[in-house]
Amino acid sequence: MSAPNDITQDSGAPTSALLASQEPQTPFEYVGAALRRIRSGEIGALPIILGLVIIGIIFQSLNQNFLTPRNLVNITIQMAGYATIAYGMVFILLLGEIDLSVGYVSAVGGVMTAILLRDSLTNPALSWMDWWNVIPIALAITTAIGFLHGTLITTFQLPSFIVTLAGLLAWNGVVLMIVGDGGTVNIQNPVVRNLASEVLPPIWSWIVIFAFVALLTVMEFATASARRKAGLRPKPVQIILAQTVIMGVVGAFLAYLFNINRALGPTAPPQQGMPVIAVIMLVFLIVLTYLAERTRFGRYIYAVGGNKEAARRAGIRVERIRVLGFMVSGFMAGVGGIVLASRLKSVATDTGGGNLLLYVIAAAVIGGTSLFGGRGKVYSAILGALVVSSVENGMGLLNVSSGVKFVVTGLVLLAAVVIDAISRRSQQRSGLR
Amino acid sequence: MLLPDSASSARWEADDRRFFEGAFEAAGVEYTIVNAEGSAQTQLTQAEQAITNGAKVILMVNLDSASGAAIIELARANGVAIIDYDRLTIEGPGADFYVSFDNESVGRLQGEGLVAAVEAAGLEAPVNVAVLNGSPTDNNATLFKNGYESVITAQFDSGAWVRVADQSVPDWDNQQALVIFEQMLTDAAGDIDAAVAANDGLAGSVIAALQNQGLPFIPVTGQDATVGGIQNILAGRQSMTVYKAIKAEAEAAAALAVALLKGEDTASLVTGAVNKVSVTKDNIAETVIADGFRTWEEICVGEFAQYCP
Amino acid sequence: MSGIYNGKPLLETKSVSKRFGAVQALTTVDFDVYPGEVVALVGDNGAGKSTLIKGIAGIYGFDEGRVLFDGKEVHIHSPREAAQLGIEVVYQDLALADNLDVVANMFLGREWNQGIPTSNDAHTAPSGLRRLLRNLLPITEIDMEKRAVGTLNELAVTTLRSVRLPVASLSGGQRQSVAIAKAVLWNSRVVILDEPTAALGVAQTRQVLNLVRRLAEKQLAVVIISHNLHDIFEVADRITVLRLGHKVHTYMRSETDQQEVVHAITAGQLSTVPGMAS
Repeated sequence: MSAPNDITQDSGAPTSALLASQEPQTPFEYVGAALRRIRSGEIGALPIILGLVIIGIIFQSLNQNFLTPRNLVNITIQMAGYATIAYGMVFILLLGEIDLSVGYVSAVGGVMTAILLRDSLTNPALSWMDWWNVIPIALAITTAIGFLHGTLITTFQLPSFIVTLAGLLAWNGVVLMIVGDGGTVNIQNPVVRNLASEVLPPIWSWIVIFAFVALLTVMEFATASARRKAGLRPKPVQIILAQTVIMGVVGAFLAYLFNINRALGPTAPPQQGMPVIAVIMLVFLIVLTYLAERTRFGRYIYAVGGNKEAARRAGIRVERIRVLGFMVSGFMAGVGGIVLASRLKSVATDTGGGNLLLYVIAAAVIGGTSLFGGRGKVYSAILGALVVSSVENGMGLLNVSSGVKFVVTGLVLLAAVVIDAISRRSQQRSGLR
Repeated sequence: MLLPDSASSARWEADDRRFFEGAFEAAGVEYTIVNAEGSAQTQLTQAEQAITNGAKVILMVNLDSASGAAIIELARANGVAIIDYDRLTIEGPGADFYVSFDNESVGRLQGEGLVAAVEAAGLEAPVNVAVLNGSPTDNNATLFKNGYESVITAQFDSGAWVRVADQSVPDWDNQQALVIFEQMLTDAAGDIDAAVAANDGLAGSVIAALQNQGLPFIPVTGQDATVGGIQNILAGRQSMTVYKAIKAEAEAAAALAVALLKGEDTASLVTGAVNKVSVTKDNIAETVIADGFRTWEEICVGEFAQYCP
Repeated sequence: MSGIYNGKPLLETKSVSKRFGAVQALTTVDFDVYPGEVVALVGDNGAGKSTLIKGIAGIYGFDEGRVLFDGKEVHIHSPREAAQLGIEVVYQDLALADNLDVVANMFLGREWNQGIPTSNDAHTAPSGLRRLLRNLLPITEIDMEKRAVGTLNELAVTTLRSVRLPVASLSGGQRQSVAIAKAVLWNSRVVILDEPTAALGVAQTRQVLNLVRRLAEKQLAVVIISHNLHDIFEVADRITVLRLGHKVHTYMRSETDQQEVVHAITAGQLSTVPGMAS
């Protein structure tokens, strides 16, 4: 009756050893448990890392510029817009919802920023506007849009698919109206212009990455020692150290990479250091991961996506959590819109269109966030965006025709949902006794 | 009046609609203007409704040649005159009239503009040139390409120019164009001396990519005479844009429609291609400004004011 | 055993009635449960078991009658108020979030926060800044896990490999055990179990019934709804039979047998049903 999987086995006779056990886990046991989790469908980042290796090999063999420091930094910058919007999409997917409006909501954020900064130059009444108040205004607007979508969905019990589809059309219209018949609007404010192209002095690459690795390591050790004190099994020290070494090596490699002069041609000024945009992605990664995994709010997001009824019976205000989820999505779409506008240093009537929505959903799903709710991590946005951008970047390098681009992008998306479905199935298999 | 969509270009809703409204109001005729929002099926339904409502003349921007032909047959069967506007319906019996810019000559202007700009910049052979085409699914993008290729192919053949990259931009998407051009730069190790960009949006992507890399500006073409494009021309970041006098095109088509409606002689109206002009730094005032298509107020904002007269 | 009944019942309903439109779902039902005992609530479909339970749990109020908790009359208007009194219901469909681990499920909706005094009075709703802080401050996972492990161990739920596994990977019996342990976690005094052994295999049913007995041993008042008389005779101290919204009788398990109870469920002791005696 029961599968030969030892997690799920009920041995009739209670053997009290396991839960009460206070012996520290050996590294071997820890790895064993991790492998078991993978087999039961919690595959985590595994397929992506594999996919990235394959992408790297394929494109590098076709064009030797792909794995150059310069191009790897290019990918980092090119993925920023997708990653920031996809962070918000992760929260939506965790809730078991979908937000089809993020492309044009991001455009509202970018276009509002560009238009308000332009008007601050022409309209004396608006001369008080500058980047530091225009950006919050734009983000407040996109957050309010998320609030509107969420409120409509929860108040009238509408499917989010339909409401945000309506949003997709309506906000596209709003973008067209705000941009007006000028066609394109240049952004002149130096801070917003340079947001996506500014780099930190080289020493900061080391400082930022060291701080990141140190923070994670200190937290791991603190948790382990607190667990030991509480009589719970801590994560083995050897595993924490191994993690730190791996992160340290990867981090050092990244810092080294960022600090190689990647200027194009002898005439260009030297270019080295970590892009500011990478730091922004990292900060959002930390803040949003904290929100999702360490707070009640994040816990409730998972709970609502896992079992709405259970969440309701536990006293969680389900509708409020859903509205808040859409507000996170609106906020992050706004951030992404500003990043994209900064990349292009202008906005136009086509802002927010094209493949943006598709790439954002693909990024979240490729990264391992389930379309079916309740399963996923914030970091999946950044990993997925890395995959999407690598493919886009590589094909740009290869000079391939648009037909090939469409086919390849389609295949990558397909691969993502197939992986999602497979991991879901194996989880169900191991879940249902 | 059947418009195609509001995504492929801002002009249909932003420009054509107001110019047609103005012309029809002035002529005192009854009219409706509808937009099919990208759906050929919707456009066919809209044509049927227009005929049911007693339309005598239909102006159509088709979504594709086949669906356009179906609408022409429908109009003909009901004795309604039909005018192809901006896009030619190649298939089927053909419309009664066709009013448009000549898109190939738009492309030729871009080609000529780039040749002149490269010369003016004093670039020495071999000049590395990248080409950013419009959307692969837009027939007009193909026509533009035919146009500029007819001019610049000779440069490549003579060895004066070298084609370092040539890619289409899906949906004319500026963000994708930015990535594509960044990758062109990467592949060419930054050594791109000039670029064909099929419109101002794509030109903006080229400019942003160069700025992001700290590279100097290069000769680059454009189209549509957008505010951003003209600002870039003034600041010396973009070489030229093609100003298609949409107003003139719309008014010519409207005049033709009114004449058909009133049963007047149309022969005098058929005069050939409508204006389109290559706009460079030197003739902004005489073209887009003089036409009322753009104003100095919307262009001369902030840092760009210093370049204005 | 008889010592249990010397004190006051912990929870008591006095001639409660409930009507849904034209349907009289419950008619003047007296029901009680003492600390340290398991009372089974049995009856055919539509007998009024769920109506009685939902009334006690605060899903809706009774039309008539009184509810006494610890000898004092109480008015329970919501599940939250029921939980504040210490009344917990484990529903048939478990109400666990499959994607969350055991600890997260046991604490769902009442997570402990760092820096904010923890209280078992979990369902009080603080307002304003306090609520914002509670939602944004870190959850104290370690304390929660320790408490969860402690509770599971107390109840001798020992077949779990780890309390950090998602509930989806547990067997039906383990899930039921987690759901019951969740109800016990909050210093609850009355635990109501709705069909806890439905859809379980033999070994798992045994596991859950053992758990139910242990709840009573911990001086909790336990109410169990079940269709399975075999299970009930194994675990219950008293058996209350409902039929067509009326209470038929409450039997001591030691003084009755399955045949009598089956008869009461299907035919009722007609003499006890007003107007039905012929």
